[in-house]
Amino acid sequence: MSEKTKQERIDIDMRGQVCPACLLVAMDTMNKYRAPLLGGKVRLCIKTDNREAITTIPTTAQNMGYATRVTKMASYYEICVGLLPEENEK
Amino acid sequence: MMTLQEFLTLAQQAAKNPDAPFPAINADLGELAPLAVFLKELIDENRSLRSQHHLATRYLRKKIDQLLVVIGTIPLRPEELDNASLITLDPIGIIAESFTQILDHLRQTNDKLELAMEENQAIFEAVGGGILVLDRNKQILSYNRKFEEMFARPEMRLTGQTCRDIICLGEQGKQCVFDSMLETGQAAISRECPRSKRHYNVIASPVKDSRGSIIRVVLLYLDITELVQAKEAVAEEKERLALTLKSIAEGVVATDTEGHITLMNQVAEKLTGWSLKEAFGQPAGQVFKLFAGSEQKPQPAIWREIAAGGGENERIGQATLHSRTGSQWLVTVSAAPILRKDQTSTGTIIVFRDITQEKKIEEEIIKSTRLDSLGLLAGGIAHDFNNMLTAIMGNVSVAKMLVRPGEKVHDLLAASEKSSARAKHLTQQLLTFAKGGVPLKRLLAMQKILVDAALFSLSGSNIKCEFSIPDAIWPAEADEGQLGQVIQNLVINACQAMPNGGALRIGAENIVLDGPPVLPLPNGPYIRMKVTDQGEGISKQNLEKIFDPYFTTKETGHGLGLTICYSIIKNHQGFITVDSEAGLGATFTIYLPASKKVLAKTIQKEEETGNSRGKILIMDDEEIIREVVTEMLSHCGYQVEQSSDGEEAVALYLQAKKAGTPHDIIIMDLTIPGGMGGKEAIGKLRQFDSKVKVIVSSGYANDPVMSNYGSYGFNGVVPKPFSIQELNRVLKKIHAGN
Repeated sequence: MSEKTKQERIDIDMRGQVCPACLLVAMDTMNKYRAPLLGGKVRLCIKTDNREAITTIPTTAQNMGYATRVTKMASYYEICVGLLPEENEK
Repeated sequence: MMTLQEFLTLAQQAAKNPDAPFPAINADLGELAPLAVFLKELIDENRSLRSQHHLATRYLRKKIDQLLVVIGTIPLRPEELDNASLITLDPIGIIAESFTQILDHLRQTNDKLELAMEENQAIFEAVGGGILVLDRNKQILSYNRKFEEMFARPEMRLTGQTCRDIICLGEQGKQCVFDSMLETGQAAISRECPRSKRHYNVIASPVKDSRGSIIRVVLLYLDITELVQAKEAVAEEKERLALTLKSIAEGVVATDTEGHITLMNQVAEKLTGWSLKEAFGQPAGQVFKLFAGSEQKPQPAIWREIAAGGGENERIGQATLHSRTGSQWLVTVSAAPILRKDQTSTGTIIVFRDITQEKKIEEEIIKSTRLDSLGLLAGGIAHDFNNMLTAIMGNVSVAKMLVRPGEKVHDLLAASEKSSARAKHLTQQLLTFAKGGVPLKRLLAMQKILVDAALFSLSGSNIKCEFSIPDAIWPAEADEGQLGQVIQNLVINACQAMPNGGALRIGAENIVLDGPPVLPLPNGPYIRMKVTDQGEGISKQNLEKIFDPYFTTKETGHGLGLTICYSIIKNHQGFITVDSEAGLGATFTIYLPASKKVLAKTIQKEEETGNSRGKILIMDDEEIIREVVTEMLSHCGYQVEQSSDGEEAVALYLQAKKAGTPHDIIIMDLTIPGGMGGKEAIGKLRQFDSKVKVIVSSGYANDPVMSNYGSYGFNGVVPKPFSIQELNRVLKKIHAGN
């Protein structure tokens, strides 16, 4: 996360869980943090090892109006939701 | 009777297992019967509630799965989330909440899309070009108002038609921008598409679907007619400028602010020896090597200073331009900065004018002026001098006849006569400078003149002469004596330049001048004669002064020989020039106007000599002339009468004629100060006697009457001074009937 953004980071570790449970948990969190996510104060970072989740979560998040990014880590994927506009352009 | 314990066991089984039977309510229950009824009702209600819960859960899972499919994921598996967790997690609530966000986002997106569409529509209509939206089959889907104005007739329906029907009108060009775009999948441009006397710039842009397939094509038509017309006008202007630059006689060069060449016209190319292609981008100082002043110092790049300082025009008078090919040109140079509207410089324009020829002509004029001055002086004194010489020569020749040859007196008189002849020759030479000194011209065969004059001058020398004169050389109308004198002078000079002997080449050829003036001569046919020696040559400094009067490099020379040549040739409307380098000999070239007349092949008979008979009347204002001429004529055998002016001569002639003893010939002086001269008297005489024979005589050898006596009514001419033989020859010729 860029230091410039000063976003609060909410981490959810969903490794070992499959979709759509992962998606529901992600959606629930996005619902709960709707205002700060839209305002750029918070970003949601989900750790998952479920391949379906790396498609469904970003697609749903984008439909909800959030910018997302999926990063391949060593043994899991990190899905970040609520990127700042300038970061999203990169 | 059933015990309480047994009853409770059966009731618990029935409560846990919906298929397990509830104990029958009968007498066996005894006192437990009311309790059994109540318990059975509770168990039945529990079983109903469980059934409903199961249905509700199944319904929930079904709906959740439906929503999850809508979202784009797989159904929720029961093992993933049990019924209890399902209720706790509330997926429907989560999804519903998320849907509100999705809907909000969609609404915002729609708002943005609507705004974008409105913007697009505004652009669609406001853009300065015509826009056409087509499907892949070139069928028109939509178009803007501008397109309609450009290509549609009033009330014409375009939708559904193809662009071929509207734009190409069945005549599709070789390069259809639509097809080009379809081939490459990228936007294509047709830079100039002429239609109905107008010109368009057409841009075809593809509209692709999410898979990248082209589903629409947008064509933008920009009317560039005015731009094309402006371009054509600029091209015309450029062409006109190029033609102007090509036609002007000056060399024109443009440089940028760094002094690098950006433009050169043809004259500049010729003067510098550089082509524009070679010179482009080169520093101007490298192409234009200028030297100025008496020491010919190199000139720094003045154009750079002018361009940098925004200075005014600068002119270097008579700088020498050294061309790349080694030629040198005398030029005037002017340079000026090329200024923008804000007065800042974008470079320099340099104009060179070749004044080499101009300078030569200027020098010729100076030379002519000097000769004219000399001629004026010569003309002034020649008349008196000739009269004196006439008396001297006449008296000497008469005296010589009075003594026998071999006597001392005879020798002395012969020497005096010879000196007088040389004095006469010198006077005649001086008179060639006199203004109006018209040569006594007649049609001459140039070959004979050249050969005779050259061989005469070479007699006794150790110079070998090679002639290269074609038989077909044109004749010229010239003064034989003067032209011979020119050749003689040149040959004598050549001999003196080759004291140890050598070869002299004399050549002649016919040429026609018909190009731009390179010589100070009008165009036409000329005979070009060359006299080339192998002598020591002439230095560059001397070359410029060689035709000047009194200029000589010889200790004994009087500096008039070449000046006379120059003057004679000039009086013949010709031109003489010299080319030489020190140590490499010299070549004198003469241009003489050729005549179209054909030489008559006549053989002149030698005049017979002998005692003369006849009556001669002489008219001269100077007594000494009258006396000496009387002596000369008497000695020849003529009867002589004298008169001092025209009136007296006319009276004496009429008187003698009336008396029956007419004069055979009258010799009249051309001018009589304060009295009637020959020019006037001839008119009077002709009034009385049209057959009278009159000879004009004068010391004014350059008077037009002398060179053209026939037109003034005279039968012959005898220029002063004359020898007794010359006088007698003319008299005999006239007496014999001319």
